Amino acid sequence: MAKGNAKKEPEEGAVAASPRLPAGRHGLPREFVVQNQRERIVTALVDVVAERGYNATTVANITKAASVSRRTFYEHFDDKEACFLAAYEMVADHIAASMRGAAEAFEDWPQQVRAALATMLRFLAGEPELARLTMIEPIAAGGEIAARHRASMQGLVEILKAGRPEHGGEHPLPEATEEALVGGIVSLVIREISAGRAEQLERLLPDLVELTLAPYVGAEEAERLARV
Amino acid sequence: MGRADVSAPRRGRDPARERIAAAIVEMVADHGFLAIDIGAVCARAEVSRAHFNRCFVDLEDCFLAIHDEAIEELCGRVEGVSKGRENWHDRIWAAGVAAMRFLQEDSARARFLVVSVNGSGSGAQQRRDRVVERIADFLDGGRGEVEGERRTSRCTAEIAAGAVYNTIFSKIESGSIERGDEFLPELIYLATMPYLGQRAAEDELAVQPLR
Repeated sequence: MAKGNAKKEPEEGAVAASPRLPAGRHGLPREFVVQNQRERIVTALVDVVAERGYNATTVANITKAASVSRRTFYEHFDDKEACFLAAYEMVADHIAASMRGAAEAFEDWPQQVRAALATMLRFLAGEPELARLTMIEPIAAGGEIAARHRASMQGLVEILKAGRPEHGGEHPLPEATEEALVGGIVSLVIREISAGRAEQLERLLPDLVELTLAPYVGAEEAERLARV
Repeated sequence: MGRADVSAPRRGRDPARERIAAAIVEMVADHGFLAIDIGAVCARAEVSRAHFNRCFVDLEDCFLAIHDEAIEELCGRVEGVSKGRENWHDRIWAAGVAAMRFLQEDSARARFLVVSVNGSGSGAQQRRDRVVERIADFLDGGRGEVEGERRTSRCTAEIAAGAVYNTIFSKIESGSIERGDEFLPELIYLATMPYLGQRAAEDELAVQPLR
């Protein structure tokens, strides 16, 4: 049973563009300046990666777009990867928190899954550049970034694992069920974003809900719940 | 990116090209694509840079060409064992066993094919997407198995294919592909459940096909 509507809707853009500071002696507190510079650099990285892709992006591209010196960049980040991870974590943490919040608004587990998936799809559809940044670029980047991306999917895995008591089959569900399901969801989402259809992601919701719920509640019930 | 005219060297057996293929598979599997260069591959393969350049445009061209060839070999084996089997369920099992055997034969090749595609550029990403697409094509044949009024769509096959691919990725990445005997039934369960239903698919979990 639903407790009510989701507590909060995803915010409009997790990485808001920061206003550029006026040149010269502006008299602003150093802490504000440092934070402002960091946000400008992260915002610039998001823009540059959206245009060029992670692998083709250089620190010079980022500093030029952010209008900061190379020295300022390295005061905030060790390298391009660290800067990307800062941007990625900002967005991924926002998505994860929004999904958790949406799920917690319901007591019924199938509704929790539906709400979490709907929230993720809505955010990605509304922010195509951030969708690429969080879903496609980490895989293209590989290494630590790809590993961090896989770890960030753990939140959805935990939401799905909460459905194990719903399973009424004779055999226990395979241990890897949740990770496999999340892999399937992510794979389809990536394909749609790659094909330039990020804005249409929300139309996938019924299929994603059905396939995700089926191992727990059975195919017929999953189809019914997905099409409600 | 252009492609080198690799057809000429492949008309006959080219041992140097084969050594390049073996070298890039092992080096990418060990270090990742971004950590290697042509000079290191040539040194490992004991071939000249000039010969490399006759075979491939650049390192990415080499990676993609060798990746394509290995995927075609894998698909050839899968199609070979599943062709002629009328029953979709039998084809899935035959394909699953053949694919598992292929991946277990050579752990470096398995890592090169599945894990190292991450971080190897957009061309490699397209290869990954194509592999998932081919798995989805294969699974999509299960629509004829669906009973009652349940509907399945192309999305069903794509999600199931992504789930199967992701599970294989995790097993290879964690170095446990040799335990395919244990998790192949789970893969078959994931692949067939959307079509056969939960109860029938659960029967797969009791099967021990490779022991």
